[in-house]
Parts: sequence; structure tokens; C-alpha cells
Amino acid sequence: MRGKKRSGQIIILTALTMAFIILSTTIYIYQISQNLHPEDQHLHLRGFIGNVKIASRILMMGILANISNGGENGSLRYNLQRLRSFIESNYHRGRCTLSFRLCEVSPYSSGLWIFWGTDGFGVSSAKVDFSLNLADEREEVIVEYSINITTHILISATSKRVRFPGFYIIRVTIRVFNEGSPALCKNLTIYYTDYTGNWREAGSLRFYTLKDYGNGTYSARFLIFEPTGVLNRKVRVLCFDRREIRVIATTTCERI
Amino acid sequence: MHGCRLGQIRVLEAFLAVIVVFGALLLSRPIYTSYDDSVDQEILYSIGMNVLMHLDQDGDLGRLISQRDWTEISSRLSILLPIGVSYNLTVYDEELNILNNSPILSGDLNAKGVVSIQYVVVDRESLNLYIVRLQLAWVK
Repeated sequence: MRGKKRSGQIIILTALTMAFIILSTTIYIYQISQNLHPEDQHLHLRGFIGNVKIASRILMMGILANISNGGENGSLRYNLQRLRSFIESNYHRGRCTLSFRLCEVSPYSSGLWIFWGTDGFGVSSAKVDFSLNLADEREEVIVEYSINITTHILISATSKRVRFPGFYIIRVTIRVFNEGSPALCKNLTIYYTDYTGNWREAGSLRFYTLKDYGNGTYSARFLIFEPTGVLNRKVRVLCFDRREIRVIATTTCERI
Repeated sequence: MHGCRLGQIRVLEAFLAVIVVFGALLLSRPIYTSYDDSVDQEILYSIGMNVLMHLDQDGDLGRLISQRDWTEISSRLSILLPIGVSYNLTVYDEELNILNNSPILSGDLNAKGVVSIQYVVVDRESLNLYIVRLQLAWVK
């Protein structure tokens, strides 16, 4: 009698254990199936955010190249507005809002800082802060990022009188930077002032060499003939980096 | 007589247990299959997005689109995508008109799990904006 009672208890316990195992397995499988969608969603979000960052960066490079080559300053705002409406209207996974703010912190004005100085420093730069807001029925993501495209050059020049009267060797050292790191340039043109004060292109001279060190540093050397010496001779470098952004810097030759 | 009944109950219990186990396996199978498909699609999406970002480095993709150099785009895609992935690329302009007059594709996209990636492209020189749609599938 006691054995039969115990057998019944064991059956009940076994049934409860089995029910518990089945229930936990069902919950586990349900959780797995629920997790499939958000991961997929995050992957798409990450991809889209990366795409927007790259697109805005490339657009800003193009705009800065355009402005530094004589384009209107207002094209920065206009083209970023174009990009904003294009991205917002082509996002189909919810609501997308892309906003931007042109940098107004000195030395920037309307997102631009273009300074081609006479002390051996020249810079062309654009800086914009972006905010990307993506929302669907599940969540809302806000990404803030800043893009700064800057090309600057540093130049120095020396003028040395050679043994033959009226001949001078001019040496110019140019260093090119993209976003503060040494960068290669696409095209370099060097000008110097003659005794009348007119600008002349050094590349057209017979004795002109330009050396590329491959690390963003260039040095030019040319020989000029001028019977009357020139005091405070100026040298100007016009540089196009590999992104077609134009920078100019002018300096005065140091006599040695 | 009593022992015989007990034996029958045991046999019935065994059958019931077998039914429960196979039932559970059958029920969970579609979920795992869909999980596998989803992982496959995630991998395809990651591959496609990485390839497009790589192609777009320094604005190369925008330049090639502006030059309408579909052959070059196709050959670069073929090099960058792994073997066993077929693709079809469609390029749209700002008004969403299709720009590529010749198909940019490789392989057959009639497979079940086709992944579609939309990517915004900017041409640095002309400042034109484009949308490219890259469809990818594993070759079965």
C-alpha cells in the first residue's frame, strides 16, 4: 500500500519535471526567435549610419575643393541641405532626420576657414557638426558626429648668392598636411617675385628641381639671375592636395 | 493479469515519450532554420556593406558612376566579393531614375535569400548624389 502511494508521488514529480523542462525549452526557443529581428535591425542601422558619415565627409571634401577654387561660400550650406533631404527621403526603415550646424567658432565662419597667409602658412578648412536621428516603432537612435576637412601647408624659403655675380639660388621647403597629418599633394606650383615685383613661375626656369620626399615634404631649388639684388624676395606656393583642395602660402626669402 | 496491464502501460508511456521528443524536435526545427537563414543574410549584408564602403573610399565609387564606367564597377565588385556570392547592382540618380543602361551583375539571383543593400554615394567633383542598390545572394 505504502509502495503504491510512493509510486504515485514519483509519477507526479516526474510529470512536473518534464513539464518544467518542456516549458523552459519553449521559453528559450521563443527568446531566440525574438532576438533575431533586433540584431538584424542594428546591423542595418550601423550600416546606414556609416554610409551617412562617409557620404557627408566626401561631400564636404568636394565642396571645400570647389570653394577653395573660387566657388561660392554659400555652396557649403546649399549642398549639405541637398544631402539632408536626399538621405531623409530615401530612408525607408522609419523616420530619419539629419541636421547640421556650420562651425562658427573662431577662426571658422559659416563652417569655413580659408586663410592664405604671407608668413608661410596657408589653410583651407571646413568644419560641420551633424546630428542623425533615426526612429522606428521599436527604438530611437541619435548619432552626433563632427566632420573637419583641413588642408594646410607650411613653407619656408632661403635665397643664397652664388659666386657668379647676379645669380641666386632659391630653396623652398613645403610641408603638406591633411587633417593635421602629413599628406601628399597632387600638384605644386612655385612663384617668386623678380626685381620689378612681378610674380614669375619657378617651374619655367631652366635650373629648377622639385624633390618629393614621399612623406608630405617637398623641396624645390632654382637658380635665378638678377643683376640688381632684390630685398625681401617673396615666394608663393600654390598647392592642390589629392582631394583637389587648393591652398596658397606666401613667405619672404631668408637671405643666407 | 495485473502484470500484463502494467507492461501495456509502460509501452504506451514509451510511445508517448517518443511522440513528445519528436514533436519538440519538429516544432523547433523551423525556428532554427530561420535562424540559420537570418545569420546567412546578416553575413551577406555585412559583406555587401563593407564592399560598398571600400569601393567608396575617397569617393572612387561616385567618380566611376559619374563617368558611367559600369565595366570598372563590375570588375571591382567581382574582385571584392567572395567566390560563391552573386550580385546585381542598380544605380539611381537624385530623381531615382536608373542610370546603368547595362546590367551590372554576376551569377544568378533567383535564390531564396536575396539581400538588398541601399547605399548613398556622392561624387566629389560634380557633387552629384546617387543611390546604389546592391542585391546579393549565395550561389546554391
